Amino acid sequence: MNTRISKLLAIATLLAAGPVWADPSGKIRLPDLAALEARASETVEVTLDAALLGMASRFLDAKNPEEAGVREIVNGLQGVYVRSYTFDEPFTPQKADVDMVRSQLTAPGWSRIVGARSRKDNTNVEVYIMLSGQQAMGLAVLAIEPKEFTIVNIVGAIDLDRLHRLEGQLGVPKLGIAKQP
Amino acid sequence: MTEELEKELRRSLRVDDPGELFTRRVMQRLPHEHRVASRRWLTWSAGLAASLLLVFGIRQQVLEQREQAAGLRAKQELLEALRVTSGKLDLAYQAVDKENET
Repeated sequence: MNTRISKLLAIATLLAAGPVWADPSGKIRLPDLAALEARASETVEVTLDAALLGMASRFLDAKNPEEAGVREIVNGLQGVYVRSYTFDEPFTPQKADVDMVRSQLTAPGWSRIVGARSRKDNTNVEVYIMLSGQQAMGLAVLAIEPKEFTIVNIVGAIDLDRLHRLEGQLGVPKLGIAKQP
Repeated sequence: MTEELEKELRRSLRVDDPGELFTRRVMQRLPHEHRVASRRWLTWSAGLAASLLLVFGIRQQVLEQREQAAGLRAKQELLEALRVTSGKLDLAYQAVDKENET
């Protein structure tokens, strides 16, 4: 009897958890990293939803080329979420936190465009993009470095052409992103 | 005796004309009182309206200052977020570049 109840409970739990589906908006659920924040020497936590992005956009100077470029990019965005922690000593993030992010990014809709792992530098950087037709609807970056752990999630219509034009500004590298046909 | 009393009463209770001067003074006094009350009411209303405008103006200014502070904070956060993002994309680029070189 107890075994049957245990099995039923296990099935109910599995059904409740459900499969991991990607949020079509390109937004990922970020893990609770409060423990990291307490240990980090530097923390960057940015949570900007559409309303805050709109507010920020109004204060970007159109005459400043750098800010004008940012303004163009921000126009199509729905959210910008960054969690970045720097440590004084080498640090390994919790596997559960990393897995939680990765499991969402392996769901249908997301594609990994860069997966760079350096054993020498002990660095692992993964860049994911969510495409809807020809339009990028989400960008996610997971970077694990010896003394740094970063998760970036940019939600919304990311204009790759505009991102391409921003290359060289704000330290954005030339990724060779071609204009979508 | 009764007649005398009656006459006395009639004399005392007869209607006397107060005179034109008295009537004029009373009539002048009434509108003046009324005017003073109206002026006082207007002064109070204007004062109240001015106070309300001042309170509303200060409230608007505080709200605008708060909105400006929130906007500037959001802008700084956005630029910081893009700097972090570009830094990590740069890291990915360098890693890919290194891999291609080897």
